[in-house]
Amino acid sequence: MKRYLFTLLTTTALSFGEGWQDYYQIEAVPSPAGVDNQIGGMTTLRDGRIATCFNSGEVQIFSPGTKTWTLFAQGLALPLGIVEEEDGSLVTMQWAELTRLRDTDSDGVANVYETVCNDFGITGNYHEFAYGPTRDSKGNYYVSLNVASNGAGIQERIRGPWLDIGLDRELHLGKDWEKNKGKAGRMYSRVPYRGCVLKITPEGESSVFAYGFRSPDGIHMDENDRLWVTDNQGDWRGTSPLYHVTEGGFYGHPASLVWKKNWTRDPLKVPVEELEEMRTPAAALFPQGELANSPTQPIDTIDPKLFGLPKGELLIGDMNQKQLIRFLPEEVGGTVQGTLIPFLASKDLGMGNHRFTFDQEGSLWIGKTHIKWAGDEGIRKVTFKKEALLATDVSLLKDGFQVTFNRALKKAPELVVSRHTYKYHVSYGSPKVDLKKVKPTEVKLSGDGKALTITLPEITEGRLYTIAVKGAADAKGEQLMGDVLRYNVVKKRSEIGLDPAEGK
Amino acid sequence: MKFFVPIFLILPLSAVDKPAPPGELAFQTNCTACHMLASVVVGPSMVSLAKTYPKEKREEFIAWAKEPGKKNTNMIQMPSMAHVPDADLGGIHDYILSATKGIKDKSGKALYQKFKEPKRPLPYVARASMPDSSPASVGVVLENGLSVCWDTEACRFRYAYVGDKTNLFSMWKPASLPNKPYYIETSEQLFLVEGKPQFLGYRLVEKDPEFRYSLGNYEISELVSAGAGKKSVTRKFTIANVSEPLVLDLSNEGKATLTSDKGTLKEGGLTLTADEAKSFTLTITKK
Repeated sequence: MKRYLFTLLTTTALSFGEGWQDYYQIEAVPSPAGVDNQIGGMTTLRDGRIATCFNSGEVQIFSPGTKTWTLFAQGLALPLGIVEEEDGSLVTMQWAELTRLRDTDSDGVANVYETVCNDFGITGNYHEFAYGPTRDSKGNYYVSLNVASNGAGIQERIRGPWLDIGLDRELHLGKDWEKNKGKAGRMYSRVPYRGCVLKITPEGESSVFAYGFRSPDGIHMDENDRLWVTDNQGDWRGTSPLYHVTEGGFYGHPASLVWKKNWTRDPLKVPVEELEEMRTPAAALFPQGELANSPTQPIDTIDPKLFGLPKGELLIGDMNQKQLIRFLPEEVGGTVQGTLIPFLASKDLGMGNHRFTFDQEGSLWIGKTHIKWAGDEGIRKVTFKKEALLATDVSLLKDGFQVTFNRALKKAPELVVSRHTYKYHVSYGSPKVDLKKVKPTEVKLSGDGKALTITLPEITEGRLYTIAVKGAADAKGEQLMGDVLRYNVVKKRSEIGLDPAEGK
Repeated sequence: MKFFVPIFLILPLSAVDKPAPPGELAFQTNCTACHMLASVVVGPSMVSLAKTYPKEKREEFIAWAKEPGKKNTNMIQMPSMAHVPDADLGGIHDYILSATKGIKDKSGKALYQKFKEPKRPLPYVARASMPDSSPASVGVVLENGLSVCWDTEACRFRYAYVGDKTNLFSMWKPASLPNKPYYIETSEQLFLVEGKPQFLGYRLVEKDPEFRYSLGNYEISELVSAGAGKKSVTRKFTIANVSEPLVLDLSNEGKATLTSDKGTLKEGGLTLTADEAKSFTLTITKK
């Protein structure tokens, strides 16, 4: 019963979302002719042009001055990300390899398709997407590899080697597959290094960087060299997570554990308690159906003057929801965790928001996709008009939260606070677990009207706190935009270090 | 379920939009990734679900959702929704029935216009999984109407076929070829040299792909081009730092003749002196 109550509360609050058009303009940008109008990668080049990967295998470059597209490269297999190098080469991750596209004769078209890394397997299963790259300040690339889905078997010929832990290879083929697929695991990893994040040096030396992913479509190195990966609700994923990924970590989906050195066991037979012990919790959780169903690429926010959001946040997309999501990170006791807040929820934005880049004027370019699932097609450009009333910081206190706003609130708003978690199990998805309403013992708006201190009876680790803020408005009556704050408490603040400004 | 109503009433509804019915929320949470109102995305449309499961078939709907089988051979099987309480599944059923009232099924029509491959200038080079080759292959569509499959895993030419189809990549299956190959290389290994070849990429030379790979101490390039007329494909090899004779196993089947401008070609074996191996061209001519 309670489950219903809180779902209702949070979701109705979400429906405040319309109204963003006062603050941002959303327009469609025409794609070039002759492409499959679904986008797998987007980046703003140093000269201000926008390089875009289309699902039909092209890299096309848009010149904002002339508003024209030029073909840079073609014939790529589902490129799902793109990065510019110092000499103007573009590096993209396609189905079978990380490829450097070079224009050595300076005619504006790539004539060299150089293999940077193809040191991973392919079984021919339809779910073996390869995402990225993203790049750190030292020039290393990071890519993420999807595991195979038991929605299908494998192809006769693979790029291996095939690993013998699990169901026999022959049983993944033809008619045998239909009878045996239940034994393969909902998502499976039988060729290197499916379900892992790889690190690749500029020279192409690769190594496994992290384990435990399922469908890690969003991979992003922020400007502080922190690696972020989003993943998709499903088996071992109660709801979709955002991970702060560090070297050697395990992020919950067990199929890829087989790629750990000296690993010999069938991941499906490892006790959940043991996996639980090994896994790194998510920095943020997107409640399924409310915030995101299939989160996509994270991107760093830029100068607030250009786009109206504080710097140091991430913006994240989703395939199913007609909104983007802000992530406000903070570090508590060495753990990076934080708050998700809906952003730009509107019909004009639509769904399928897959890839992002800020152009040099500060407009956000959005590339959409659907493959054959829920989503959309085409390109949208979002331009900042004026600053909305926003929560600009959410800090965990020892006994509650402090929410900071960019403008003074007229009065303390009404709050509905609840907390819950999800099951960690082999099954697909999870209901909300241990959902409890939490009545604040005190809610206090600061003298300047910009800081709201919410005191709770206690803070429980391992719980996602949902704070629905109702009727928050500034002196002019402008409503708070993005009024449900979801803070994932992995770690409580300790007795010492009460200053919420610490560790930012 | 009858406790619902009172709980609704005690909600602080001031300044809150009309709440969505619970079935809609559960539907959003669990179903929207695959089920659209009137179109097929991954699973059947809501309209067709409403037809399959009218009001009186609620129990069947719930049972199916918890333990789905496979009804539509062209769709993937739904994951079990056993984690969703029966009450929510019932709510989802209600929502499907109410939301689809008066809606016409457009399942026959695609939600998005299917991408139509444009006529591409040839030669065209496309990465794809190809039949009888590794999933990391390259299709080379030449301007004389012949096409080639080149395998980046084995680093070799696999076969040639007639046709100028350029949409070869599919995440679902290997490319379907317009015709069976007329020339297939069948040897275990092309160069009789120890070591595993490592693919390095390709460059376009007058738009033709020149594949590059390393093998042992060699770095080998193979430029694939249309030969003269509508019948031949050429493969120009360039090998740096060759200091000894090389042998290629060019065993093949099909309806084509293979010639080399250098070396001795006998029963599919090509023997080259070190000097000849630096640069030589093979021509495959369709019979």
